[in-house]
Amino acid sequence: MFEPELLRRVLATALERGGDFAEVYVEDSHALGISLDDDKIERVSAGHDRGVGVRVVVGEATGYAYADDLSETQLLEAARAARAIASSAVPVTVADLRRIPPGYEHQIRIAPESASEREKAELLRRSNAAARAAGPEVRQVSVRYGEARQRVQIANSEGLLVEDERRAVQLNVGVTALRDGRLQTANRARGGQTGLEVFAGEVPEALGREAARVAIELLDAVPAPAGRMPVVITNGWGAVLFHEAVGHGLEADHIVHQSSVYAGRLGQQVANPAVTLVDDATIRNHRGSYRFDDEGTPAQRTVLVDAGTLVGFMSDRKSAAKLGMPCSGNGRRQSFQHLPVPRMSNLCIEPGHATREAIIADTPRGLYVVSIGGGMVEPARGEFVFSVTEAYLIEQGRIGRPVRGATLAGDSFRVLADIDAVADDFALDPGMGNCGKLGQWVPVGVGQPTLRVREMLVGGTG
Amino acid sequence: MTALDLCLDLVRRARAAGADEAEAFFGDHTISTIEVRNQAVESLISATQRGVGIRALVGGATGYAYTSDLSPAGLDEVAGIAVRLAREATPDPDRALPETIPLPNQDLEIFDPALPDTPVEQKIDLLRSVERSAHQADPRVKDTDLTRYVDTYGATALANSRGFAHAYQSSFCYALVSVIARAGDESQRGYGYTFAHGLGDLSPVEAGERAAYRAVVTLGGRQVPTQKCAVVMEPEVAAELLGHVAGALSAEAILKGRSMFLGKQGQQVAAPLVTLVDQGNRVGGLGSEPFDGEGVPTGRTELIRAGRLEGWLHNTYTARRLGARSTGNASRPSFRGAPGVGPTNFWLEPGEPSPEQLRAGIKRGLHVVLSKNVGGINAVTGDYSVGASGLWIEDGQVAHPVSQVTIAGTMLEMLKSVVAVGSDLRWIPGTGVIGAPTIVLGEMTVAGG
Repeated sequence: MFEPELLRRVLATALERGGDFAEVYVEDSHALGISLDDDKIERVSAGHDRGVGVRVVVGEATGYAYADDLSETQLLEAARAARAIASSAVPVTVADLRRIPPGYEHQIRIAPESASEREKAELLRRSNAAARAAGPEVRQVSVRYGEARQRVQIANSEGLLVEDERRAVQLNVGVTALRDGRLQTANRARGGQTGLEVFAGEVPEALGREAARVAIELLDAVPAPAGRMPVVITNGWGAVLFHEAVGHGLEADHIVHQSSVYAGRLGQQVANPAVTLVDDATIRNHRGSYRFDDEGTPAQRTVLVDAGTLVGFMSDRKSAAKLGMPCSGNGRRQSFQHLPVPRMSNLCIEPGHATREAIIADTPRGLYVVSIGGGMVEPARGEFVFSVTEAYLIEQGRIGRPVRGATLAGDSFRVLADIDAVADDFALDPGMGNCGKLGQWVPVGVGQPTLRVREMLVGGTG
Repeated sequence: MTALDLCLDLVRRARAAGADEAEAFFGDHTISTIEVRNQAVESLISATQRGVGIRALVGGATGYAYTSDLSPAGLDEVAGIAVRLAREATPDPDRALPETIPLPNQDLEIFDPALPDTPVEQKIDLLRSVERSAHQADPRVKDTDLTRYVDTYGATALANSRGFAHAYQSSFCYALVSVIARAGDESQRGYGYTFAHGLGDLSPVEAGERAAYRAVVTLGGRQVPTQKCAVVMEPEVAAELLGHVAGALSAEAILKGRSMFLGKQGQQVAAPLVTLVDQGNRVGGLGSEPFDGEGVPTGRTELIRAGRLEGWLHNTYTARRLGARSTGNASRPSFRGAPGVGPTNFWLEPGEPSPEQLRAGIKRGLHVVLSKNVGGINAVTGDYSVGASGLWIEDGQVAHPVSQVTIAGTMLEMLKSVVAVGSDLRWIPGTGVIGAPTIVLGEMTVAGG
């Protein structure tokens, strides 16, 4: 990471032809991946990425230049390329840089870089063995271990200087089960911004066994029903549905461009009063957290929907300024190769007072959703659709047969308004989520208690 | 040092660090991106991307590492890491570098030498015309969500310890627009794009008009009752399906038992109208390259001929495992990844009828304009389920727009139920470059209200 004096020189170069704002973003990242397939450690790969991005803002326009070289020459070259957007003859003065300390620290007990690749490969072998021992139907097991460490340094012409370190470790087990020519797959994962302590004890075995159990169980799955019905979504990862269906529409760039159903609705009732929705970048050790966002704004917990009322949006500097609101610290980017945009960190629905058991018993017929594969939303219309990777029929208030090939579709407004029961069993997801927007991928987290949506459109063939 | 010299130098360093065999892959590209909104330039991005990846084989096991630090110390470090990581992998005698096959002397026309010197003003003008075309195509187009131009050009080089050492230049550019149409309280987004190797081959007006069409065509859409009916897929919708089919035709998926085509070689897996081809050396193809990600010359492979499953996409490893020859499909998106298996230019052979003729032949069915895949397409189980919007067709005529429905089936049933293939082949970059015309499926489940 660079001395403040050099960064200030880069910023001054960037503003030599005028401009309202300049920023330099320096990144140094290491990644390691190990994968086991077919009983073999097949791929072991490591990468080192480093680079710099310089941004110049002039009115509504942004100039940006990046390069994967951290020499002083390259930093200044990037500053000169970024200022191509500006055309004034009058240079702008850069404030003295003041370093801001982070608001909290993650607790890392066993730093991943302190362990050998051999020890890490052993975690994969243990998951593999446990999954294969789960039943004769297990045909294939793949296990992936991933670790990443991203160090960033951000300085801007207003005098801000921050440094942040983001980490990720992840163990992901995928099992394919085969019976009578029918294949089914299931996955289980664990991870976070933690050290290797997250895989302590029997965690690798448990992930393998659980993925195998579900894949085998899905062999007996019936085709998913088609039509409207109540949907009970389990705690934890289930909240990805709200990340997609609601969260994206609360990102402030969509509000600025009037491309969200939530534009112009601040202060209005947008959900059932049982629903409080927050984005929290300050959850220690969770995957979507950070201490500073990628523009250097300190991370915070932002209430978006308070007991059913829309009270906030997630913003970066640009969208916050346009809306005349304080920046919520949600300006994120995948790497130095990207401009920041408003993104979620960890999106959570707060717990309620019902119990999971009572919610299921109170549902005569419906779908019980345990795992959601992925989803997509059309923010302008508030329409969404999701694939479901693990779900069961609810018949006479009891969880019944597993179903396959289900999708869930609906619109944001109705899904929030239609939440009619919220349990007390809040949980965070296991720490393996990624979110894509405008071609950029960032790690995210979600959390929720078990809850019921009165009615959703289930797409299936049964 | 040239790109090739750097690769050869890194191969030597990996050998010195203990590798039995080694392969270096180097990419050096210049990228520029422009975004316009309401005709004003919103951002100008310029970039260089340069880095090298090294694959080291030690005792039949493989390690991979990459870096953008091209200093002698950086190269030594990355070579050492690759060798160290190889020692942790399971030895597998089929993991080997390919035999060196001479490259044919053929210009694939994948580099437009005019692109690097094209002034930025010309790119901005083109992008403005994309946005303008979208807005002029229909008065209901009210807002621009995104208008982006990207071009990239540069060198790719590959060298290995078996004597392969080649480099090539390539270029690529595209313009993309996403607009929002509004009518009353309702709004709908639509996108359009144009891709080519050079600026002169882009079609800005068509891209804008396609975006407008997609945004307005389903305005006023409503659900239809859940039922089984015929489905017409526009090329982009069909391409998404074909991309997953291509994934299931990879020998890697077959070897790992993760393909719906497992055990079906030589069988009739699709309607006789269906012929699927992959060809990495198509002149001018957007997915073309002279050699694949491990130095095997690219070629032409028929995967499904008249509905019959003929074979798989192979790289050197999968070919050795299955006793076949590499089809030149070792895929490698950048220096950051070791070679896998993937399509290059992969297409469904077009038929005779125009899209209009196809629609005229539909008695009752859904014409899908936009699909939303959210992971509901599974190339292992073959399950297919996506959100869809489009037009309801009765007796060959548009009855009304449709939105918020899902369409579902299994891909094996869908391939067999192809009853017509259109003439309107379009190329859509994704994983590889997928070519698809409009297709008609005899029956799928449409789930609505």
